[in-house]
Order: sequence, then structure tokens, then C-alpha cells
Amino acid sequence: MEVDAGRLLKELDENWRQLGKGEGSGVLRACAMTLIVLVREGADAQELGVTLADIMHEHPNRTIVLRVGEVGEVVARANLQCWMPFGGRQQICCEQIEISASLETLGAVPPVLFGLMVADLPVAVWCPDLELADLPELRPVLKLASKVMVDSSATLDIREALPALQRLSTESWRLADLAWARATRWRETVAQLACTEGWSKADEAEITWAGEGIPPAAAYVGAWINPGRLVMKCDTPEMPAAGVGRIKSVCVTAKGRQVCLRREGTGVAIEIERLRTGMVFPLLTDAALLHEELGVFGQDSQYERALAGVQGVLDAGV
Amino acid sequence: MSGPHPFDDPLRYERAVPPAAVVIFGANGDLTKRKLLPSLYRLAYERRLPAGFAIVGVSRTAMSDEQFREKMRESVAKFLEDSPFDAELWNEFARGLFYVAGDIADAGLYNSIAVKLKELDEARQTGGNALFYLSIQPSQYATTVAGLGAAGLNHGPRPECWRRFIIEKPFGHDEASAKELSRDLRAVLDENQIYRIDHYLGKETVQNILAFRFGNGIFEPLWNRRYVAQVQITAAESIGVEGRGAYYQEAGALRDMIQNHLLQVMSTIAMEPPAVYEPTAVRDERAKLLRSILAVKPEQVATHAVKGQYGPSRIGGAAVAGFRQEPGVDPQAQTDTYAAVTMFVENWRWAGVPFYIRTGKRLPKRVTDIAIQFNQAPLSIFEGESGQTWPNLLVVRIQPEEGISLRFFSKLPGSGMKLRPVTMDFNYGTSFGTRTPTAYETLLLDALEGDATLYTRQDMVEASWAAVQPILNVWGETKFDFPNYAAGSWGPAASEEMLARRGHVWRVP
Ligand SMILES: NC(=O)c1ccc[n+]([C@@H]2O[C@H](COP(=O)([O-])OP(=O)(O)OC[C@H]3O[C@@H](n4cnc5c(N)ncnc54)[C@H](OP(=O)(O)O)[C@@H]3O)[C@@H](O)[C@H]2O)c1
Repeated sequence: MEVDAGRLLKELDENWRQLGKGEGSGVLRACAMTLIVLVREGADAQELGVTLADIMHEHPNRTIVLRVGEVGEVVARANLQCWMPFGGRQQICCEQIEISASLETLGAVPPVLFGLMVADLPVAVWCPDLELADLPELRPVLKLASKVMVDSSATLDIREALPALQRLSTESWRLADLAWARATRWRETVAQLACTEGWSKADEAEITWAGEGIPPAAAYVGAWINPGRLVMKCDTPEMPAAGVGRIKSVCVTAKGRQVCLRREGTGVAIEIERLRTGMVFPLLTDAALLHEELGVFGQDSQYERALAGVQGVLDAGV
Repeated sequence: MSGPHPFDDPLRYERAVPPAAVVIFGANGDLTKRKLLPSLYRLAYERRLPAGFAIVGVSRTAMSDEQFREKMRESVAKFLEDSPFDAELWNEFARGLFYVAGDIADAGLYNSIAVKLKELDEARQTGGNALFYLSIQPSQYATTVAGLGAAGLNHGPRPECWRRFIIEKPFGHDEASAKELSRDLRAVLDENQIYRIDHYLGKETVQNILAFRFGNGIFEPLWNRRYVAQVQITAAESIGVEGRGAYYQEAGALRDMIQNHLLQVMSTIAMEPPAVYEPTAVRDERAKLLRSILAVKPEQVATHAVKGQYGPSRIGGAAVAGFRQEPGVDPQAQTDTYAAVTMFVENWRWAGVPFYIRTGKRLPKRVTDIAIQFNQAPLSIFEGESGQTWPNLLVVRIQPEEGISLRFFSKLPGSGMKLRPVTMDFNYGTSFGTRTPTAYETLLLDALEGDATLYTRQDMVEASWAAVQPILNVWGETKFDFPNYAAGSWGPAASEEMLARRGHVWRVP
């Protein structure tokens, strides 16, 4: 069957009209961008749905979910996602379009996407599967976006992910990796302590983690701190609970003083010489990480520098 | 504030806040439990507070640190606005909470505070910095500041340490007392150590006015006397004085709302663009605007200002007491529970454009907004349009639903050119679903960072008193026949008449 952007948009318009006719106190149409989500055919639809609904609230968008399978024609359908904000009087609705295609039929998809993109607003791609994002067949889709978000943390070792990340980072879009956002709370705390201590560079740093293989987030933090001497090591082979993240500790030394952050349950203990305090790090969900990334649309020089520095971290020996 | 730090990442997180102790005078009071502690806790939840941080509560009631922590835990759990209470985080936060009992009239109290701060500098690594929050009655400010000065607490233990002082409104009850308060404060403190809080300026939407005006290119060209016919600022409350009758009786609406909050809002709407978004530049522009407000002459007060007081009424079947029937209120009180004023700004941008400001209690609903009404189209070319008075209106809503809407004409569907006013709406809450920080969170954080942009400076305080003082003088000498509006109405008839003199009407917000 032929998929036509005009027909899909008409379907959406019809949905809006029906909604407008319904009883009640009105509908608010909200849209700040087009979000193209690339997943494999077998990806858990429910989990994805929850994440997308979650980010809708803060980043209302027209979502286009493109499911990539082994074989099959291009098929598409459109509908509206609505919710009533807590204590609100108006429903808020966003548009969602689902397209399925196979590797062979992918070539027919970009023209459809062109027709479906919301005029005058930014386009972002989220492709959690790094290998999928790196497929040459998908390059034309990625080219539509100004920002492409992948997630290398499913790759248990940064060494396996790095070549794909490097390839994806030299294209026309800005690359983002949710593994970098997984490190934000650690970086923020290190930055606060460094600022208080009056450090502008670190002499030494030690980063430990849970699970086999170097977690991308840990490698990024190492490259970002960029100390004179870096120690990176596995603390325990056991993987942490979902949402906690694999980094176990970050200790930084400069000017003869040391600060340490250590994962303790859902919180992090901070040790500065004799002072011990703590803070709570929020759980890392895809929605929370995407929310952070969607707040950054321009150049992200800190990430670019960290990605460029990862190879150096690996070369220094882990 | 120094330059960027190599570990900063402003795209993802805010700058670090320096270590500090916050000393709250009036720690047993209403503001501390309802606003200050919940805001500080929330800042901890957002990981905005530095690792070296402590809070010292001060008031007369004898309490141990433990008792104070327990009391504050209850308040925070109760008054935290749209965010969860995390017991684990609270325990961490509470370890940095301390209490010192004493009377601010007693010199010994300041020595106890000095000892405590020294101890915390060591034990909690507060860096020798301290932010003093005077959450006490304004009549106690002078004594407290003098006591702090005598104990040497107005300076840090080392040259790099800072000392800052937040004071709460009201800053005086008239022009003369505002100057006197300033003299008392300045006898001990430098102006740049004084942070006068006006929580309206900390509201996200008030800050958003600056973003809207100076972040967009299309509005500023219209923002002047050539295109704007009038501006209306409304801050209406549906509630009465809620047990604060005795306090309110002395203040009144003009002092309690217009002199400070609404004139600050007006300055935000009307000020010139600052060269940079930086404390001195922004505050200079605000102050300049406030100084450009034309003082009303005594003989003009009757036509430029309206004083009102609500009487008893029935609202939705329930009997509502008049102001004079409220507990603690003098049955002959001359207090203004409603005030409306017409102000003019004498500068090239605004000369001749009336700014109508009104505020009151027991009005039909709780709403704060600013409406900028543009001139009519010069000629009506569509049939049936003549006689319709729906000029373009830009409304900036501050509460309850923060946002901006623009009213314009559109064609009615069907044959013929029949026009109808419609609005285009931007709703802050639904466009960005994230929780916005409360005004106290924003302002406390700014003070810890040494950013006074959203705080009021003495010249602003004095200029805004100068704008309302002639009205207060005339009102003080006049006996009004009160009540003159029923609870649940939009205020006295005289208020409508004030606008009618210029052919204007109050909009219904
Ligand atoms: N409440 C609000 O929502 C609000 C809003 C805007 C502005 N403000 C301003 O904020 C300030 C505080 O208001 P508030 O409502 O919190 O007042 P409050 O409830 O009266 O609290 C003041 C506290 O100060 C302590 N205190 C009184 N006299 C003292 C003394 N001689 N020595 C030491 N401590 C003393 C009292 O505790 P002890 O009995 O234990 O001493 C009392 O609990 C005022 O300037 C007010 O105008 C308040």
C-alpha cells in the first residue's frame, strides 16, 4: 500500500475536528518540534509508549515512530495522544504517527517524513539502538534532523560503541548520547565541589563502576575531568538495579585535597576531607534523559570534547 | 561573580553556589515554616545547595537542635509545593540544621550566633560566608542589624568571606520611614550587602516579561506611546484579610500591594532595555522608570486614585463579613482594602499613556495580570465592524494560569466580512510541563550567589514611595464613607468613573 503524508495529515486533522466537537472545555494543541523515533520491529511498544507520553508533557511534539523490520511493505497510521494536566481544565493533545518499514523499503520513507515534519520547528531523532542508528540505510532519515540522540549504554563496553559514535558524530546533525546525560549528576556534583575548592584542573581522578566492561558514562566522566593521572576500574561485576547507573564512585584530587562521591543506594555520599554529606540522584529513566537532551539544541561543546577524549582515556590503559 | 569555570556546563546544570550558612531570624515564625525552609529543602532536592551548607534558626522560644529539626520537618512536609518529600534527603538536610535561642534585643544573642558560625565554618565547611534572613517584624530590623554590627557579624572572618542580609517588606510605611530604615541599615551595612526581597520580582512570569520583551524582536517596536493606548495592571484577591485584620488595618492595599509589588511589575513592563542582563544594569533601568513616574498633585488625587473598602455581602449563598466586621478590625477603620490609581510615566516612550493599577481584597476572583491595549485600527473598512470596540490586547497573566494571550479580529465563517474578536493563547504551564521554582527558591538562590538583579535597591524603594506618597497624604486627611463596595464585586463605582474620564473601561480579567 502506498503511504501518503497528505492522507496521514488529513487523518490527524479529522481527529482534531472530532475532538473539538466533543463535549467539555476545550482542547489545546501543543507542538514544539518533530520527534522521529527509530526502533526495531520487536521493540517493546508499551515501554516506548510510556516514555513518549512522559516527554510529551514537557516537550510537546509530533512524534513519528518508525519501526524497522526485516521484511514488509511501508504501512502507517496516525492518531492523537491526549492528557488532562493535573488540576487543568483543558485537555492537551499531541500527534503521533506510526510507520513500519523494512530495510528494503526504507528508501521510500524519507519523502513521507518530509511531508510529515511540522513546519518551522526543530526536528530531533531518537534512536536508542546504536547499531540501528549506524545503518547506512537510515542515514537519509537521520539527515532530516538537527539533533540525533542515541544511547550507547546498552553496549556494555565503550570500546564496542566508540567507532559508531565517532562515525555518527561527523555528520550534518549534532550527535547526543544518553550515556552522557547519565553522567550529568556526577559531573554537576564534581563541578560544584571543584568550584568551591577553587580547582580549575584535577591532578588525579579515580572512577569505579559496576558490571563487566567500561561503561560509556564512566569513560565520558574520565575524559571530561581529564586529570593528570586517571585510574579507571571495575568495583564489582554485579550489575546495579535499573535506573541507578553503573558508576560507583568518582574521586578527584587537586592541590593536595581530595573529594569523593560514592554511590550509596539511590543516593550519593560526598566526602571532603572530614566532612561527609550526601545527596539524592534521581533515577535515570529514558524519559528523564531525553528531557535533558531535548533541552539542549545548540552546540554541546562539553560533550564534543568528552567524546573526542574517550580514545585518550582508553589509550592511557584501563 | 567570576568568569566561567572549566567544569561548568551551563547547558546542563547551573553554576555552583558557594558554601555558606543561612541564619534565619524569626525561625519560629510563619514565613520560615511556610516559605523559607520548604524552599531551602527544595533547593537541596534539586542539588542546588553546596556541600558546605548549614542553616541556623534564631528566635526566642527555647528549643534544642533536635526539636527545631522536628518542627521544620513537619512544616516542610506540609508546605512543600508540588514536589515530593524524600525522607532520606531530609535526614541529610536536617543534619545541617541548628538552632540558637535568644532575644534580638539581647547583645548576648549575637555572640552566641558568632560562636555558632565559627563552629560551622569548621564542622560544616561553610567557608566563613553567611546569609542573614531577617524574617521578623520590620520594627525589629534596626535593632537586629545594630546587634549584628556590634558583634562584628557584618564582616566575615577572612577578607574573601561575604555577609549578606535579606530583609522582608515593608520597607517603611511611608517615604520618611523608608529613608529612616535605610539610614539604620546603612549605619552598619553597605548597600551591596542588603537584599530587599520583593517576591513578585522572583516570580517566573515576571521574569518572563523580560524574556518576552527583550528576547523577541517583534514586540519592542510596538511598545510605546505611538501604538499603546493604555496599560491595566490588576492584582485581585477573592479572599478577605484571613485573620490578618490587625496588620492589614495599618497597611492597606496601596501600601501592601501597589507601592511595592505592582510598581515593580509596572517597572518591568515599562522599563527601557538594559544593555546587559546584569544586576546593576537591570536595576538602574527599573529605578529610572520608577523615578519617571509623574507624582500626583494633591488636587489631582480625587481624579487619579480611588480608595475602597468592602462591606458585607452574600457570595454563592454564604454570608461574607465586611472588613469592619473582621476580627481585630476597628469598626470605624478607614483602611483601603481596594486601591486603584492612574499613573503616567514622563519619558519619551510613555508620555501620555495612562497606566491603571488596581488591587483589592474580596474581588470576584484571584487573578494578577497586565493588559496592554493597543490603539484601534485607524480605519474600519469592513461592514458591521464600526462601533465594535475590541482593540488588540496583549495580556500577560501572572497568576493563576501563567501565560500570554493576544486578542485580535478574525473573520466569522460564512459569507460577508463579519469580524469577531478571538484570542491566541500561550500557556506557560501546558507548554512547559516542568515545575517552575517558587519565587522564594529563586530569590534565596540568587542571594547565595550574590546576584541582586531581582532584589529591590534603596533608590527603587524611595522612588516608589515618592509615587504613592501624595495619595497617602490626601487619603490620610480625608474621611471616607465606607464601605463603598460589596464583597464579591469588582470594586467601587468611583473606580469605573476614574477610567471613564479618559473614555476607558476596566477590562474583566
Ligand atoms: N508570613 C508571610 O507570608 C509573609 C509574607 C511577606 C512578608 N512577610 C514578612 O516577613 C517577616 C516575618 O513574618 P512572619 O509572618 O513570619 O512573622 P511571625 O510569624 O510573627 O514570626 C516572627 C518570629 O520572630 C520571632 N521573634 C519575635 N520577636 C522576637 C525577638 N524579640 N527576638 C527573637 N525572635 C523574635 C518569633 O518567634 P519566638 O516567639 O520564638 O521568638 C516569631 O515566630 C515580617 O517582616 C513580615 O512582614 C511575611
